[in-house]
Amino acid sequence: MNNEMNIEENNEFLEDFILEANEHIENIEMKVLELEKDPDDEETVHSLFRSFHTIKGLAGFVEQELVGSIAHKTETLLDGCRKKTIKADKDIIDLILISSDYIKKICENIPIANDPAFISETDEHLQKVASAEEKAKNNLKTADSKIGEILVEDKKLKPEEVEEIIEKQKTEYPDLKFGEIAIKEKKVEAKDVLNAVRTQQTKSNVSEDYMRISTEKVNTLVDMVGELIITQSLIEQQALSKCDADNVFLTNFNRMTRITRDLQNLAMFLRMVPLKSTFQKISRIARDTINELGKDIDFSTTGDETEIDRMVTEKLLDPLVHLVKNAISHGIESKGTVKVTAYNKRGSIYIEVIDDGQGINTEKVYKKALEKGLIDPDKEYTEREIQEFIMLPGFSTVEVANNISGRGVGMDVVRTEVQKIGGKVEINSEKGKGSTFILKIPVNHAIMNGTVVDIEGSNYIIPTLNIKQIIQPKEDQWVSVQGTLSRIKVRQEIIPIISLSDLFGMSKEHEDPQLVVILELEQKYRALPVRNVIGRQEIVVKPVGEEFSQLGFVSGMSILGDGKVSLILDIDNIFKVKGA
Amino acid sequence: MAKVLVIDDSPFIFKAVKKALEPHGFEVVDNAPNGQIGLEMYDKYSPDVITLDVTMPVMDGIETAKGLFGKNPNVKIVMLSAMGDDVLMNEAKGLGIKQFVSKPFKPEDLLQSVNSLLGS
Amino acid sequence: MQIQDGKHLTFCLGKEDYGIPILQVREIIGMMDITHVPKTPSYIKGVINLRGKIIPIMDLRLKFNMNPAEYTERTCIIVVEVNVNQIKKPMGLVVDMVSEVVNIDKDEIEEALDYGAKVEGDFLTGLGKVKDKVVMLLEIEKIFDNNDFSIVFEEAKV
Repeated sequence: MNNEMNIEENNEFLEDFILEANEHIENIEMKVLELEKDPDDEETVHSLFRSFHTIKGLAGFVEQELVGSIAHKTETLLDGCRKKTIKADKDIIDLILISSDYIKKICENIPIANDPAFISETDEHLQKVASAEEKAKNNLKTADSKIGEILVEDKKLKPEEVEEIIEKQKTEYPDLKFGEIAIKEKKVEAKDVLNAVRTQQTKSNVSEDYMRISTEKVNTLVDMVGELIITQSLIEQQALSKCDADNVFLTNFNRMTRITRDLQNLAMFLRMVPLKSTFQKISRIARDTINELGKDIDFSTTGDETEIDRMVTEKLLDPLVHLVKNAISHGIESKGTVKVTAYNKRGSIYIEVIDDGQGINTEKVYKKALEKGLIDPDKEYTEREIQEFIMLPGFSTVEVANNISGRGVGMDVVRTEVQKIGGKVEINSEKGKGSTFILKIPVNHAIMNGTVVDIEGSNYIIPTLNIKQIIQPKEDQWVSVQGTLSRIKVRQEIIPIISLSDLFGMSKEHEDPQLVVILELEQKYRALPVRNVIGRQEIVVKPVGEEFSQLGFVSGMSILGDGKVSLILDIDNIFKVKGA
Repeated sequence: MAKVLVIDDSPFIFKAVKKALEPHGFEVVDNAPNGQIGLEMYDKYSPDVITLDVTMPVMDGIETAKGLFGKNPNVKIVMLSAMGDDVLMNEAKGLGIKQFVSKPFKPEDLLQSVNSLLGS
Repeated sequence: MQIQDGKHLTFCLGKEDYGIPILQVREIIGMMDITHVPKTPSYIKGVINLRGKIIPIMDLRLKFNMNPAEYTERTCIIVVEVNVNQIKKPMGLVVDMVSEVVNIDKDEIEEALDYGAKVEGDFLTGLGKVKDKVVMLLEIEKIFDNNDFSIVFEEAKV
């Protein structure tokens, strides 16, 4: 630089550079989101190109070579997108964003551009950028040479001539397409190439073809399939009782049932999306948090190809972010590993947040819960139960309401959010070894088999999965405690009865129970007195509206065949209500 | 005093041009953030020399140059290019631009280009 | 509260006439079976199935602390659209009888004075004079604002 410039001027220029670079980075971050929505938008690509181009141009003035190098390589990538030789898919978009992140880091902390660790990191990244470019170009070349194949098929070119042209493409005409070179070398005429291109397009239409469909249409389709299942269920009940001798009818009906089942599965799959983008978002947040706290934590995700219902992914993000931030800020002191994995097992999706840090200090947790009056001081709790105290409402206080733990959003909210989507949270922690938080999410929670029961004149639905058996108890099976029926003896088990007053807030005067439904949840049992059991049917679960979300005993609502709304009992919560 | 108009969407470049030229008796009259505004400002200020960026939103350097030559075939333009703009530079030469300064530039390089344009 | 003039849907609760701006009314349906939801305030009757959507139903008489009335063939449910946390949600109101749609000009509306003990005062935007009747103009958002729903929504925001 000019010797006349003094230190002050240099600093001023550097400040100006950082200011302008940051403006462009803001633009990049916004435009990248737009690009994700519409990868073919030329204006967005242009704007991104210009931003990196400008940053590159200015970096030279202030001797920020690393910035210039990152900007230059990313600019080249974007140039490819401009010229349509590279398609702006998710991987490319990620690379663009990472480049911008690195430049941002340097702008926030200029000396880091001289840090060998940082330099090698950016080197790695730029290599990825370079190979992404190569890959895209090669893909294009393969598409190109197919033109050659087609021209041979059309008898416009000989195979040796195709070889020749490919060679020339490598040496003489690196920027031209196969067809263009063929015309230039006067091997074929323009109209021959045009025909070949048309043939190529029709051929590719036969292979993978994607459609953009509005989410609303898919949701309507899924809803309608749900209604179909219900109606079929009703027909089944009525028809089978009348036509049991008619084999032809039964065969056809069974065939229809199988088809509707397949349709139902297909409809559910329409809405399934891989967890990849959710995991990507979590990864970014994790990396940012690790950097903010300056900890040495290795963060990774696996199983991002696991698919889950689209609406569930949206609702899962916040709880997962909270768990990850917790693991990073509280789980691990300074060095360690945090992993997020997802997998399918027996009809549910499991997502685990695992850290190898200090584990949950059950003594501290017990003390805190005791102080806050959240637990019974005389009761003895197991390790597992104490660990789960952290999910009690009121346990986490706003004292830690900073950016890291996310506005004092406590573990209780995580649990509630997960429950709202029909799932549950489990904790496995060992002091000194680490903690694992497991989210279990049902895959197909929108349609389930439910048993309709009459409780004091109103119909309720119990998930059939949770019904062990239905009994008509005899006098001697009842066990009273202090004058109220509180337990029932079934074979060798003594099972607590669920108090309807506690459940429904109704008066203590209840009719004598005619039937008792034995509910089962994870090898524990409860008895629910009912007036009658109406029947079993496939039901479409509609989520509980916000208006009623504070009602613990309802996990969803459904419309029965008679058109009336019926409430679905929340078995998880019911098991937590103390017995009568 | 010779008047200079900067057509460039980067405030940094505007500042750099001012710092390079003002100490040597030039009046840097204004900064147009894109070519369209650049053409308007050309009419307003009638500058003696224009520094023109290649990559700008709305109207890029080449289009702007065409517009400027349309107004005045003898307009004096120094084109500021960044590394890798070769194709565009060839096009610019074809239009009649004779002075090119590449970014990052030393102040004396810019000064030299401007002076040689005014000298001819 | 803003004075709402323009077209209103008028209806009766007992001997009193009320009005809601027509723009907030989605539809009017006859009484149908309401599924009771336990552990909710008495004026929340429960939910209904409206063409596949589950909608909460409020009995306005009970909300306004009037004596409950038996449902007759005139009893209707007015489905309104309420803005809750920037989302439009449909809610149903049980009323004794729906009258008609009337146009009420600004100069036909008087300010609603504070009625003191009477609960309704909170929900009124004004008194409209239509023919020889006085129609109490309601602010729907306020009706849903002041009850347990808002506590739920507040919690959901956290």
